[in-house]
Amino acid sequence: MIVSAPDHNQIEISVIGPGYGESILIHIGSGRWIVIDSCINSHDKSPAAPSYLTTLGLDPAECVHLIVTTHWHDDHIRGLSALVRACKSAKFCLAAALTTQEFLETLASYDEAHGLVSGSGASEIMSTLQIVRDEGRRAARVVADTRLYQCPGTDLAHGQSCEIWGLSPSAKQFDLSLRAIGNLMPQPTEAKRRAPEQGRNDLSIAAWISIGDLAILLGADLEERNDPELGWTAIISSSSRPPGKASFFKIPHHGSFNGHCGAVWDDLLVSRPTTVLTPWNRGRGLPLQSDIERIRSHSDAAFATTTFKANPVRRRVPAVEKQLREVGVKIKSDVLRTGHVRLRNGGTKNANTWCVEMLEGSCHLDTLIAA
Amino acid sequence: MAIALRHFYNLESFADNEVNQTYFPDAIKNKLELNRQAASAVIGQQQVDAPTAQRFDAKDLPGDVKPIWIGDPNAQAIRVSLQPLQEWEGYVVELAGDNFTAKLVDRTAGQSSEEEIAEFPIADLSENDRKLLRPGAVFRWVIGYQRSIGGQRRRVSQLVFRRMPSWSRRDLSRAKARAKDLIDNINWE
Repeated sequence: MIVSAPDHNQIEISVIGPGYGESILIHIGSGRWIVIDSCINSHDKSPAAPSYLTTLGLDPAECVHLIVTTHWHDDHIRGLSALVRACKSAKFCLAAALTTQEFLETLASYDEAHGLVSGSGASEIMSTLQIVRDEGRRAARVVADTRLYQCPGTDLAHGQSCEIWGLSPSAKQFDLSLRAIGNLMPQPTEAKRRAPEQGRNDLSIAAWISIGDLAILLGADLEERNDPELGWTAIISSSSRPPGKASFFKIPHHGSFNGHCGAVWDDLLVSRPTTVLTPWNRGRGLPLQSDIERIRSHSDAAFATTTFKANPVRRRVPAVEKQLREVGVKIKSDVLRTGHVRLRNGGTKNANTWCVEMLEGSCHLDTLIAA
Repeated sequence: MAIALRHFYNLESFADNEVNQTYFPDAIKNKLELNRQAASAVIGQQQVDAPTAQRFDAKDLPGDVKPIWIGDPNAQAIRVSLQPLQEWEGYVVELAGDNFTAKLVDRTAGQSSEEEIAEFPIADLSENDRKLLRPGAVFRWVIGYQRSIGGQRRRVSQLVFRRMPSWSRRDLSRAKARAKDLIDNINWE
């Protein structure tokens, strides 16, 4: 593995995950990085993004300019507070619906459930916001077609300007989410419990990064709702989104059919883009074979950050193993081994030539299920 | 007198509400008192006092002093202990049909984050625990050896939902204030 940082005129896209979650780092040039989401590295239990930057000899406190938390599901925010704390120069971005009084009050209520070894389910994001508040960090509320960051070409070694946009969630999604949050709010005399995991990913921020003529589409976990004002269709329908077509696509929602929208491939992506996804091992696992076939019909250079080889389930003493068999409970590891797909272009002279490295157990999508 | 009699007849395993006036109608009280006096004479009129009572087995008593069991002697309070071999804290993530799915934190291994997941049949829960079953509910799951007072040992699996305190109005008020503080004091663009 190359452990040196990219050249100042190189673009790098690193997709790390899952382990527990996923995290994407993008070097936009001149030592400036952005980080999308946070995950814990299964190998050393450290937050993956700052750990990777440190490996490259970089200081997260200086080099990270933007952190985007695409949604508040557990698998996208593990280690977020440590990431934000380490990246002292970064602006922090979060979906606008997650910054309302109603949502934060709900989360803060769940954070009152103390004494749980696994935590309240709300502590990571509450701790993050507390750091942003206490340190006076810049923060942005994201709705559809929000520009989150811009940098002129004169500030970047490759001479290309850079813009980062949030493409979602839509205004209608904002309204729907406020109503849904009301159902989560604990009531007096209700027994405390951990914040329930949220089923849908409707508040997910899909991000668009343009660097000169190069465009990158990061799909987070955004799902398609077949509604012109929601999901991917709302993005495609928008007249305010940045123009162009992306040549790299982080496949949304672990490659699931729920995250698929045919119009994305036609309207937002070049023909045969490079694609990466992070697998998920709950239930039958994602992506399914049918998902792989669908993605492969659009993309030749298609990769997964890891295989389905989970961390081995811990073996217990024979009496415990016997009891587990007798009660019929099968324990699975919930944590896949963290992997890493990294792309670097050829810098100014070969901006459209990409070197793809499959690191730490990642694989081509064709070999994912067999691996 | 009830306390003295309880000690005398080795009835300490009974709770107070079991050794009460209901079990001591006057006729029985009188007979027991006569028996106690007789027993005292046999054993040298030792004081039968609650904190320092000696226990006397039935065989130490003269033949006409017969111990009266209050309640079913086989239903004495059974003291059991549980020797845990493995313990998890878990929380419910999903209810589906007859089962629920939960994430698990291995407490025996000293973990503080959930790395395992399992599915459990709802039918295995007690009636009381089923009332607590909902996403986010927290439980303790222990596999170990249960020992009864008689020394019998058997391997058990116990999953018990935690009876968490309720959200109080003060909790919710504090949460409201915390949320407002974040909104008002974060440097939003």
